[in-house]
Amino acid sequence: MQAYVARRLIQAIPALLGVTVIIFLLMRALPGDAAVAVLARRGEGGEGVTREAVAALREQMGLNRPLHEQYLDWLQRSVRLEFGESLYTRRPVLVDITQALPVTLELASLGFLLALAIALPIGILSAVRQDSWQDYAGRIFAVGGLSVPEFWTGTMFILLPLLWFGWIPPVRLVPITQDPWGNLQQFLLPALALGIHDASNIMRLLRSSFLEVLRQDYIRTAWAKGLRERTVLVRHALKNALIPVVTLIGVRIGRLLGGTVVLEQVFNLPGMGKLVIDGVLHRDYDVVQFVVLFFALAFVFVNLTVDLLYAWLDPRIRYA
Amino acid sequence: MALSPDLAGVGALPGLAARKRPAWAGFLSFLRHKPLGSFGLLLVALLVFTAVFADLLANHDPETVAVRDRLLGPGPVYYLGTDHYGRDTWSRIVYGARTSLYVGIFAVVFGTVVGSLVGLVSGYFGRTFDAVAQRIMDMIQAFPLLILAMTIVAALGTSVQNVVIALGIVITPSTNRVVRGTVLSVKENQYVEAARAIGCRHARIILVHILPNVLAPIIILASITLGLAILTEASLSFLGLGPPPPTPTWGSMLSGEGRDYFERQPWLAVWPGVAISLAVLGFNFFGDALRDVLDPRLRGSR
Repeated sequence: MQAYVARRLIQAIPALLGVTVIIFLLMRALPGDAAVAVLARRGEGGEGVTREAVAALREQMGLNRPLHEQYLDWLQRSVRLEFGESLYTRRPVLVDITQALPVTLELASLGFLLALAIALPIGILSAVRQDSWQDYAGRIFAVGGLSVPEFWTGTMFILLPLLWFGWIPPVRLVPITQDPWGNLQQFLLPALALGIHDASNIMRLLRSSFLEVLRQDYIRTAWAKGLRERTVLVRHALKNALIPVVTLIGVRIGRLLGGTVVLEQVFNLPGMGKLVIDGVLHRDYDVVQFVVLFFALAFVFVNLTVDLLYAWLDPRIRYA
Repeated sequence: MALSPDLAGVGALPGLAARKRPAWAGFLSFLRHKPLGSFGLLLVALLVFTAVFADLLANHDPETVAVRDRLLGPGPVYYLGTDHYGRDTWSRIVYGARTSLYVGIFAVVFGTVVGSLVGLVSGYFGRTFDAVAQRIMDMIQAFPLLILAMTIVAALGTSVQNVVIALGIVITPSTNRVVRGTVLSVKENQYVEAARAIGCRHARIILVHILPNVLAPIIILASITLGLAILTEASLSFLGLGPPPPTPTWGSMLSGEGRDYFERQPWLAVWPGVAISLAVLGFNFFGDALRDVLDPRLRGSR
């Protein structure tokens, strides 16, 4: 197992390096010049954007050096966690990220938990009562949830309480440490919008894999032994039915992270998504680079974790 | 959804069955056995119709500002009401269908063609090209889809073409993977070996002997991916990274300063969402049914 983990980690390195190259090149292709952008912003204080000033700043920012040097330099700094400071807000990028990360993590994990909480019961019920009205209702919910964009669900979640009850979610970020209840009020709706979309995916796959498992001989044996329905479904069937679902979850994490970007925008939550969108709009190289790098890293590691989870779910899969 | 016996047969031997019966018989059987798929097809047809005949269906110019008529509710003149500039929502929805379908189709064609080519060559020749190409695909897939699309559009600049390119790039790896996998199994068939033995060139083997067998999965995947492409385009537009204004897009109708007026005119928030959902729902239903009929092996893939 340890050897397998080590090998997977080593195998992930080329992909991760590729990711950094792609991000770096994309950032350098951004239209407009970061130096001009910075000067234009400072220009509000009176200083004009002169040719000399731009050249000087480009020199200072290292933008006039060859691309590969800039890349290696950037890579070195990333490894040492020296993220530099935002070209736009002048705050250290590391500070921005440490503030934004908990928001995104909370949104993503709450959304994921809600997705499971919705998908597991509906998926199982749909499979066990195949072709009943519960099954049809569940399946219609699933395809519907797949088709409705998260940002629209989110918008409706803000609009409807406002119209019906005049209720508005807290405008400023409420830290969970200060006010858990207020924090939940703030995160529940965006997480639900996120979760519904993911739940429909998980539910569809869970239903079909559950149906498959229910046809197995050992399930018939379990029924024949006179076990209670609950025991058969949960102890015998569920674990095996979950194997394909776990794979899907690994893939879905990407969608989930994309969803947080959109929903942070809808609910005005200061998370990583908001950071990256603001960074893109202000041509803030360093911020965007590191946030996107973070998303890619998170994605790769979640998929690694998922592979390791298999071994626990299915002892037949052994990693030598 | 239980497959009827004759449909199951179609799934196993698509080519043979199609040749025995006229095409419309297959279509009728699809309508009869796949009600949800037919509903999806209807929605897709409606979307295509709206996009093609947008000029006839719209009763106002989607970009004309009429401040006197701002924030109206649905009515006889403005079917679905107007936004905060007094622009007609119905006309904007209708032209938005054109944008969505245009971006969706071109992105999927781009992604599918590139993905299929890489998959075909990769699967057929293997070796260095395969190793390098697949590592590149891995890298693209190491990014969450929306975040990569976003970054690409940001890097290239917001325009319809660049949104198409960005969506095409993020779609490529999944098509590549399915095609490569199918090619790997198809190329082990004896008729491929026979073709090689009589001295067929690689290009002929790939195009004549392998491609037809990979076509079904490609078509199915493309129809399902179209829904995803439309959804992602809407998300990009919502984030301000879609086709630039004043192009009417469904996603942008739900974003920006327009949001401040949803409380006064809630219908503004309803219509674009309904339009996106119906369009994506159509492709999802249709694609699912198509997959069940053409290739049951792909069930659960997406």
